Amino acid sequence: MQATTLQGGIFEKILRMYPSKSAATDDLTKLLGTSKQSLYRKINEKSALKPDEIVLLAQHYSITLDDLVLTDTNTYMFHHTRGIMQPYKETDTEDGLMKDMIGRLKNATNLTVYYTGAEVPIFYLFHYPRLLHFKKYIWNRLNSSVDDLDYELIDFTIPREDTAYYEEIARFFETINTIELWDSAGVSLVIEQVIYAYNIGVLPADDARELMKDLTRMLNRLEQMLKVGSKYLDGSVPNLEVYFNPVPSANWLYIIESDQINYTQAIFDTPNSLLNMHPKIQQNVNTRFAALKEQSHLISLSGTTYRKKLFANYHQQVQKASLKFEEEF
Amino acid sequence: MLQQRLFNAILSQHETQAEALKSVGAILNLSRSNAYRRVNGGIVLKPMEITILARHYQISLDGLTKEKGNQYPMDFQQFSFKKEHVDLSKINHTNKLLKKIIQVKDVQILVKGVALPYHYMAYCPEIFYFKNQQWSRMQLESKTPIPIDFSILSPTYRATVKGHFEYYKRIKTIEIWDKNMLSMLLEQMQYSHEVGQLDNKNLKILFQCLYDLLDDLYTMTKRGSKIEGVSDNLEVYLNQIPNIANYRIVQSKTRSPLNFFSVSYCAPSVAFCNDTVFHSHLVQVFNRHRSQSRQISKVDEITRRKFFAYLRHKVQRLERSLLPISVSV
Repeated sequence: MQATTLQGGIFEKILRMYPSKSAATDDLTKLLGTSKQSLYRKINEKSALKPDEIVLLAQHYSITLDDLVLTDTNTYMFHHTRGIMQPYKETDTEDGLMKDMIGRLKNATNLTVYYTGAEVPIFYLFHYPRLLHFKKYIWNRLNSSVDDLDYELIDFTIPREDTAYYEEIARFFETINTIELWDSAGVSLVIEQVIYAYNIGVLPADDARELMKDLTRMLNRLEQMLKVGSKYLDGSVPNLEVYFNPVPSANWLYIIESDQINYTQAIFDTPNSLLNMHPKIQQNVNTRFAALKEQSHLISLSGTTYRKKLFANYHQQVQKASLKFEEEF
Repeated sequence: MLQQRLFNAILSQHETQAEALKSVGAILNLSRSNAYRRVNGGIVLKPMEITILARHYQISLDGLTKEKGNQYPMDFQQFSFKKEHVDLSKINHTNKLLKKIIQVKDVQILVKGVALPYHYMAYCPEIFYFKNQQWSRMQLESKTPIPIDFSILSPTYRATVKGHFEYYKRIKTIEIWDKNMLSMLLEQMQYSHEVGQLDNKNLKILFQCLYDLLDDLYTMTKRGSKIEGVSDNLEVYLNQIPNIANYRIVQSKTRSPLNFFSVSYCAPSVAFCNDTVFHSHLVQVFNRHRSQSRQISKVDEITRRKFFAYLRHKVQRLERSLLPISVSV
């Protein structure tokens, strides 16, 4: 952040969130309840923002102020989110949260998402409503007290609007340029979760088998994507770079970079995560991501040998788990 | 709101209001009456004045402007590694903290992680050193790993690391372990061996350390204490729902300033937080997960035996695949 003043820095951050200055001023005049002329005086620092206006802007645009003020501190503001779909602020419904993210990222230019984690990014599961529905069940179970736990079968009746919504998210993620580090545990967690649900009796063998089939479909899709280096199976847009990290990662990290929005989101207890927008932390995380990437092997477009080995390993894990459910059958 | 909160934070750093007024006046170059009018809201602070005060008193503006309680100031500790990798800064920092914690009688630490809690790595300086080498991967942009030789570890290094474990042993801890708690470490050992970072001799030493550690962990969990003769200072639960987690919570009823937690944020970097709301939220989450987990300390000998047999089997399997039988230390 190059701005030298708190006020200048605030407006610099806000203006970057809009495609044009006029779009920003339209919103800002409404938000601050002021005329355009008065707003311009504030943007140009001819008149001072009042403390309450600073709070209003910081909260409305979810911007951090500390990087504009504190130059020598280790204290930063972290946002606690209850899922990776909730990167900005708490709203009433999960749909609202996701739409909030889409709304903001859709306007972002030069958007790139960097990812490293113990699973392949969750967004790929959105193509498979049953899998996602199952993941949501596990998250809910993790967040339930023991009194609320039930042992009824998981209901896989997914409302049509939910399926449409999952599809919308999946399509949206397809449009984003991503650089991802995967490791050998890419599908291990979801497989273990399926086995767990099966073992405690809430997931019948036939549903478990269906989930395994979905996983296989997803793996086939991912392998095809990696072959063409694109989230579009025809390879029409080169927007996917995937590396094989030979050592499983202890981190589960999304780094969002764009002209308008930059933040880092790390999961500390699924689906709980911490989000930070401070440039210093972004820089720290970027350095580490770059180091890991440098030591990993490119498996999209090229790196066929590593890619084949990795997918053979994933498929083997799925098949091994599937056998467990077949035996029961 | 911001102005009032800022001055509240400033007042809390002074013994008396008069002293605070004098200090604010001097910092902003104001008369005592002008300073007073700002403190009581008679004059609105300008952004530049807010900046100067926040910077002088190291007050987080993000902390003052937060909304809806989902944003928290956290202390971000970025750990770095020296080229020679025998860096004690991280462990010295943690040892200082543990020394403080030990002084408090009713303190306890709640730990949840998908990997073996980092404190147990200090059981054996070789394991700890090896783990540090792996963390340093996140910082090095070279593909060539530096060979590991345990014989270079100095007596000071060994004493400091072992001291860490001794401190940790004396604190009551409640820990949720995962059946995959050794997986990452084992994969890292395998990778280091494959790329020539660990030769057979040093790998053998590491395996022996792991066996010793497992034996002691078994004894500790069996008696429900990390130290012989001290009762009930270790409660261990086995996580039943596979998920990603990595955090520790320090709790004390009599010394509330000690109530804080730390979470991995792009490991080995850590974020510390002492916000009371977030702290109690995380304690709730932990207790929820504990209630869904299976206790293996003191009780349930069958599960405990099975669990340790499983861990030993994993270590043995890797040892057999990597080391020829004739290798001796």
